Amino acid sequence: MMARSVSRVRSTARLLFVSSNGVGMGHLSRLLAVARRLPNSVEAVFLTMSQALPVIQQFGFHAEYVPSQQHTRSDMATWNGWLKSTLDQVLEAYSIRAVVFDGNVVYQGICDSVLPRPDCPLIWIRRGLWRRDQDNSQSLLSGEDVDLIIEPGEVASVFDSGASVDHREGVVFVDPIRLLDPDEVLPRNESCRTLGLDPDERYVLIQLGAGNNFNIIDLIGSAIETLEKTRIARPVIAEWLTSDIGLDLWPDVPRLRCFPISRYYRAFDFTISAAGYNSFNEIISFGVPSLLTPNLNRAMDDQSARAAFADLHGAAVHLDHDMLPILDQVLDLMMDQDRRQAMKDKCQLIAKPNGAERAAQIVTDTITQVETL
Amino acid sequence: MTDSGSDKRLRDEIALLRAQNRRYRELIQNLSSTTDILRARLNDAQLKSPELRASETFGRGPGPTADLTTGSPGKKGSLHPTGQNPQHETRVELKPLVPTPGWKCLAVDRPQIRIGFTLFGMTPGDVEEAIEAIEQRQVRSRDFTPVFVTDSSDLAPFRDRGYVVEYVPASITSRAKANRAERLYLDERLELIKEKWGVRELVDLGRDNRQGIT
Repeated sequence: MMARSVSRVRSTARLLFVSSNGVGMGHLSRLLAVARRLPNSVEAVFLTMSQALPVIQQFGFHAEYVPSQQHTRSDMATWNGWLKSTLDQVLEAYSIRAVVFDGNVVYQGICDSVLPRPDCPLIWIRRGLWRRDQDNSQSLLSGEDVDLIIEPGEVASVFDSGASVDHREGVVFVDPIRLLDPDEVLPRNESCRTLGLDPDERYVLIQLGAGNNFNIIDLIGSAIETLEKTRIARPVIAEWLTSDIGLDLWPDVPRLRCFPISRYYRAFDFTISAAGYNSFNEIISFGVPSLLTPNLNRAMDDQSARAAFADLHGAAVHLDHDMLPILDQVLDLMMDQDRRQAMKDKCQLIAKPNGAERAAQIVTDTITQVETL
Repeated sequence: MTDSGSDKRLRDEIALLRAQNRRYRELIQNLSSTTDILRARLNDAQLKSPELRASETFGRGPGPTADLTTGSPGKKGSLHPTGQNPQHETRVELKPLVPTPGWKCLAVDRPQIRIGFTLFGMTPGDVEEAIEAIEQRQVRSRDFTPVFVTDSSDLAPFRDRGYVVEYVPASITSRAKANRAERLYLDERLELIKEKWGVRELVDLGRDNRQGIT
């Protein structure tokens, strides 16, 4: 028994999953989606800049943390120097065989630490749908030296007109990476029971992101006011675990704090949601009727493209913040059961399979290739 | 415009920005105290919105921690902490980062001593209590900036107060259970954290050392 155990441990290769901080949970969620699908012969260790450390442990992974440049409020060059030193320590201590990074820019500190190690490939999971008006030259430059770029797919990929579209040489594409598979989403009654909600009531999930770089308070306030006035459904606010702001401003409205929220989507009749990578792909794949209100911060991805694509296909309603005055009319439409069913049907037509399994395979193959060289 | 003219204009702009920066710092400092008062009143009046939590924990739950004595080395051989560490030998001299003094002392602009505090093996309640005690001490003396090192994965209590926090996994900070490689790794990690933040010493407030907070 002992010998088997030792033998298993010795044949385990360790990967380091590094996530930048981001404003939400997107980078970390994609890495978790891949890590939980690795074969038993590969072990994942995390080094994150996100405050969501407990989530990594919830999924059974060992995690280290390094404060992000924003949190240290330091200059980029010095912070990168310390990031390199920290990463050197972690790579050596855990005998890491490959590094998988998810973030908008591959930090210099990561390149300086990993690239001089020929037996430790650096893989970048690079989400697409960059905004056209962004200067992404630094992001593109940072990707030139990495060993592999994996681009997770987008339901709205035909609307992608960002800078990464013209820089796809050698990039490996997979379907959209999602944390959960459909059979992991609980049915309505079970979702309600788990959250302590009444399955005979109607609920609307308001999930507008962490609110760390975009004013979500006004929109939440308007939605709650309208829902309370019309009494068509009870609002529940999703509060991100990484949020800098508390959303406990509405005493009668419960806040949902857990991860992953998509596991309980069926408890809700529809959602008012931002159109970030993970929320959007989950909403479409799990067929949740939605009002999509993009985060318009210029540093973000092109959320308007996702919302417009889904709206064009009848799978969601795209509602920009300047359309708040007609929110009550739109919410009224959302309460029509036939309309919601039509949205669910359209979601199924545009949804794509989960690419997380394939990404895990690609990452595993990369280590094998290094070993055989 | 002459060079000296443009220099003067630049100096004026910098002075203006510094003054603005100071005003913002003071504002944040005052708001931080006001927020604490408001939060306490909302709690007293039970006006906080209810929190829904799932009665299940999805995921595998805490798994076995990565054992530093295992894991297969790369093709070139392991650069294990138990052995020599070439990266450290050749590490470029870096200037320490400047820790933020926390929201309640944000406007203090005289030089601050940096003191590191390790909070290992403590319950969440004890961590909260320790940070609060240090914050109160800092607000009174206004002569030091704390840098925290914790093995609690809940970083919110530090972040909410605007403090710098570093994290070391609990499996490594428990010296009673840690193996030799883990003990060496912990020592190296703490040394790096000290260098990174320009901290001379770390005050251990964990486990049985909490009487150190006064």
